[in-house]
Amino acid sequence: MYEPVWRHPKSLDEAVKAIGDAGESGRLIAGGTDLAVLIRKGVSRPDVLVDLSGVCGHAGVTVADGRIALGALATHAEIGAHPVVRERAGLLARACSAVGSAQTRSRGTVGGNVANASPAADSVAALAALDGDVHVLSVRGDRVVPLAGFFKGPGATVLARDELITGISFDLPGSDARSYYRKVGQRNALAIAIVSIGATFDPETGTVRLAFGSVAPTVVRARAAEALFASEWGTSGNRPALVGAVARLAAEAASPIDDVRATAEYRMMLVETLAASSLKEMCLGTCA
Amino acid sequence: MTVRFTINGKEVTTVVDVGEVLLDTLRRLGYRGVKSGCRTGNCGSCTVLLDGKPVPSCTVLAAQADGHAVTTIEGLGDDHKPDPIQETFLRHGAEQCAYCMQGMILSTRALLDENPHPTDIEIREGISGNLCRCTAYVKAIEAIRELAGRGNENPDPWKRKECDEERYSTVGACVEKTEGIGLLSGRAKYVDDFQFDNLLYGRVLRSPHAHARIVRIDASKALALPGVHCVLTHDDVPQVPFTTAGQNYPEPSPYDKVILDEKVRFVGDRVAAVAAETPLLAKRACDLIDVEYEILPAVLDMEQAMSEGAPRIHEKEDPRGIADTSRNLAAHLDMDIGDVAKGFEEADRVFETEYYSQYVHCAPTEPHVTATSLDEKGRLVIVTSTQVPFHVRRIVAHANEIPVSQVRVIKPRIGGGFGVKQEIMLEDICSALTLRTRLPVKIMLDRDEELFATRTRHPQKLRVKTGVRNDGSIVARELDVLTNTGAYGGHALTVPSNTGSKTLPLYRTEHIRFVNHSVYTNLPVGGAYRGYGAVQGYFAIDSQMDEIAHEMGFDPVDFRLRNVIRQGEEDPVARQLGEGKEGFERIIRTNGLAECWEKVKAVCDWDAWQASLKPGETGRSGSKPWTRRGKGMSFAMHGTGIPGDDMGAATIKSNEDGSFNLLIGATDLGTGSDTILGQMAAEVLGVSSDRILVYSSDTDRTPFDVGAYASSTTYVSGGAVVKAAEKVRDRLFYHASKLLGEDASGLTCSDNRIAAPSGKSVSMGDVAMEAMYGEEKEQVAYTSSNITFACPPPFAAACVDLEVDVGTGRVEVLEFVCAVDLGYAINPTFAEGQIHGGILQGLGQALSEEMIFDGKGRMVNANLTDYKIYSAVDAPEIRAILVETDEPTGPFGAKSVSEIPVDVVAPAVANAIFAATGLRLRELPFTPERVLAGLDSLAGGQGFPGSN
Repeated sequence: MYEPVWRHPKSLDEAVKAIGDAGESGRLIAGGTDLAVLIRKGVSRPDVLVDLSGVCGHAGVTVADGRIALGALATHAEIGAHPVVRERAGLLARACSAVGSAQTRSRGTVGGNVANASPAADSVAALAALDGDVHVLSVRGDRVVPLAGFFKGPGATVLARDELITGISFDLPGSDARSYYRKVGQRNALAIAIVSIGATFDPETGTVRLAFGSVAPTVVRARAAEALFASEWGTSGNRPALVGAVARLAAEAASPIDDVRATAEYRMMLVETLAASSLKEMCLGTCA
Repeated sequence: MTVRFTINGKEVTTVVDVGEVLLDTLRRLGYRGVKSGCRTGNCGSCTVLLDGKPVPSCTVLAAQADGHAVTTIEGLGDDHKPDPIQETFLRHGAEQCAYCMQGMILSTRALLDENPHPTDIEIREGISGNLCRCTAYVKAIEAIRELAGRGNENPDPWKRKECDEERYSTVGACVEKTEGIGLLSGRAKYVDDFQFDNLLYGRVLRSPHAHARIVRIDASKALALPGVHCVLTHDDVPQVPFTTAGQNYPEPSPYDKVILDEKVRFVGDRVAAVAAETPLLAKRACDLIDVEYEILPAVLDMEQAMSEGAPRIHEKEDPRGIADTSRNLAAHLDMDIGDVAKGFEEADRVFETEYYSQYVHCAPTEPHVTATSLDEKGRLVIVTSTQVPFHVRRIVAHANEIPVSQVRVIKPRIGGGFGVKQEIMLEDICSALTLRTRLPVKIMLDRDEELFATRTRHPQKLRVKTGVRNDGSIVARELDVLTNTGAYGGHALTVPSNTGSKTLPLYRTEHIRFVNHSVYTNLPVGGAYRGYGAVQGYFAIDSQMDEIAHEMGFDPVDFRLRNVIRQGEEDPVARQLGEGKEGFERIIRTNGLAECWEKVKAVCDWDAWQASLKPGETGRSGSKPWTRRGKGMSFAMHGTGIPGDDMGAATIKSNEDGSFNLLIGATDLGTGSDTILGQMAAEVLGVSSDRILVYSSDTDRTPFDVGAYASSTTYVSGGAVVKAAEKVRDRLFYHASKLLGEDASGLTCSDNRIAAPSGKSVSMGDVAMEAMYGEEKEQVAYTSSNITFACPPPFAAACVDLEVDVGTGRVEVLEFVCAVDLGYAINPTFAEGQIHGGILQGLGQALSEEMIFDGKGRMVNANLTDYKIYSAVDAPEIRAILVETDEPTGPFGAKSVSEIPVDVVAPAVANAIFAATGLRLRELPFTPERVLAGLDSLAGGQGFPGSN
């Protein structure tokens, strides 16, 4: 019979100690929307389960000092409904509202979504376009890892075994900043993205950030395309042409595969189309 | 570990395994309204409220609920005081099988607690995690709108308010389901809710190979596991061939299957079966069975199945019913009316196009589940989720070599069927386990097994050749079909037979040729699925009708209406193409197609839309610069029961208070047939519907019925109910005549009384008392059975309004309108529900559903994440219109309604995509990827205008 040790820490300190003590086969469980299913199926069999649900002060959304901070236990439903997130970081609100169904959104947490490291994770494409930082804690101390360097591949992150995510934060976008999020799946609810895009545009600095989900082993940023945009937006005499060129270049960031949801070829077509749509909507104000 | 939580306000302490999910804990504690549908958090059937928030309880470890408050459906009111949500859902007829409804009601509770006045989008979002396969969510959304203080915004302008009081008192009324509150409060019993002492859990070990011979099989390690009671292999069970197709005897499907075989023919085929004390143990035992396979070359392409040198899938000599084992040909059909060659010569234009209809699954929310046990007399009792209890009894007895008298089959509430439960999937093997162990055994399929190992809609490739004169008349039509029946041939003859017989008569054609080859492949097995061959046929025929109209410059509607079969005409195909044999004369006595179209046209503004199209432009721009909008239409006719084949029977007996037991073999899968048949009995007997106590689908206690398939129940079983009720009524008139002192011949009954022309009357209860306790002392009870040869076709017209995103290829359906001539609606609410659900299943087939296989024949999307059934946020507005034509052969004028809605969907969607973009798609489903590739090639690889 499978009988793992169940730890139910009441504070962050206790949680960090519990996962530190658990060793190699310890797993953290928050919402459990993925892990509980795997445990029941017998696919995942950790010896120690550390339940984070009792850890206080670890949830919710706070806005302070020009940053938005998401507690690791903030649910997708909470983030999607938060007024400041909706106003200033609309892409994140939309991404969180695109997760699974009402049931999974009220249960699943942003920390879990990030820790799971799925290239298709809905919130991550948005957080990548917001240049998010992941806040990590262990008995050895805390550290901040930029989201861009957090993932190593599908299901793999730079987190050490004894580390847990305490939250994700990013700069509060300006009041005139614009953003875009779109997920293409075969169904509106309960769908895993064929391709998703999170994008931001700061008219003050003339910069964009473009992040794609489900087109590479991890969520990716189209850095070369962003650079092209930054260098030419301010001086460009033909912005629609620039947008087209940036979108084409953005597609080069993608290295998709064929899977049950779509072919690589289709994903490549979508990346360029979505990049172009996002830029037109955010930067040219067309097709809104 | 010990967990403490509150369930429905009550403190509960229980010991759980840390790996146990809340779903299993709650069911173990007796909260069986929590249903198991997928166990991956996708279907929402197991939704409970955790601290007021809806969660799928299969994704929560019981340990995580420690210290929290859980609300299940049982906590939401009962039959004495239902929650307003339950009451409102019931009044609107929101439920059909209701397996998903307990969860949906809890999601609704959470939604309304947080937001008492949700918008439509918020309502759809709120229930988007509760997949329903029966209803298309239409009536649930209407009910929630009412709870939110709003009315129905899109009423059917022609809908009867109440029943036709001029004609009937109960028939024709929107009577609520007899078992409705039980269904919506979690107390109705489905198979998995039955309790047994010493229950064992069965599991089938399934083949990992598409085609292999079992060389050696060693179960010793599995049997050594404590708690494992039994392992069966092909050496342990009778080798009696049978078909899993639950059809009338002699079944028109080949006998190509045994309980366990020494050969496996598709990935998922049975290898062995286990019975153990827990589900987990049964799974471990399966893993421990050591099997040595000789892997054989597999046929994974239906085009290659009949080719020279293709591996033979069925090798036994002289099996009953296989057309030609040497060519993997399960069934063959060939029919000629007139001379098509001559017809094509006479035609001014000849069109020839090819269509493909994919592998799709019924995917009921309740997977197949069967529990077998021995009663106190040692007889086998099978409680099972089936559409065909009497066929189950016969086939299980045959396969296990026991007498029919030793088998009793009970169908309790079941969670949807749609055809896949017309199939003996578990009953034979579960029985074998019980016969061996002498203990109760239950097998419930996992969601992935349900999808890859049960039955599918037969994929078909259809070539249609049509000769048309310049005046728009059709001279000749040839339909040549290649059907993939997969590893076994259940329905391999009759499904393609219906592909021809249901579709070819719709448009009058002088010369007709129909050919079908049904081939075996090493892929999942075809079976019955709502529409039964006609869905594939109409996709081809009604798509091509549009193509012809476009090419020849005809209006697509005029071209169809000009050729549609008329009232009074004979269907030329029916005599030749029956149920796997010659058929019967079929006269079209009622045809409401023109009225169907008039109403659809009015609701969807067809004429205004047509007029708004700019000359030379295809479609219209949509709501966004990168979308194109189009409308498409289609027509269909179907059947009502299998002529000369389907038989239903009913017994009615009177009770002393003027109530009646109605015992019927007919099988309610959630359609509401128990209620409808009760309405018919009530009407004839002149009593209110609550006086009819319906009990159905128990082979020991109810008379025979073929079961729920071929759109037969209302018509065929209903006919039996009417006959039995008339006999009971007449006998009660005899007893009443004594009390009234009047002649029996002039008596009438209504309002629970029997009355004489003189005005004297007596209550039904007094008459029943007189019959039972008067001088003659008689139990008034009659049984009648009914068969039919008429098979009157319902007709349907549909229009879909959609947008195509030319950047991504996604098709967004905005509205689907469908009118069905169903003869007469015995219960308009249920009839509309059938149309809604059929349309949504059709949309799944048209746009999102497809079983996908890898190069080894393994299904790669056997889950509800990637096998995409529509949720409430995907379902468009669906509007159902009932057209009544009073079919003279039907009970109260009724024809069928349940299958025809699926027929109209794929062609309407294909025609609308063409109208929007000029892209003609002939391969289902129209996934974003296929649409985008099509648009791209249409534009010569330059990107479709507006896509960028």
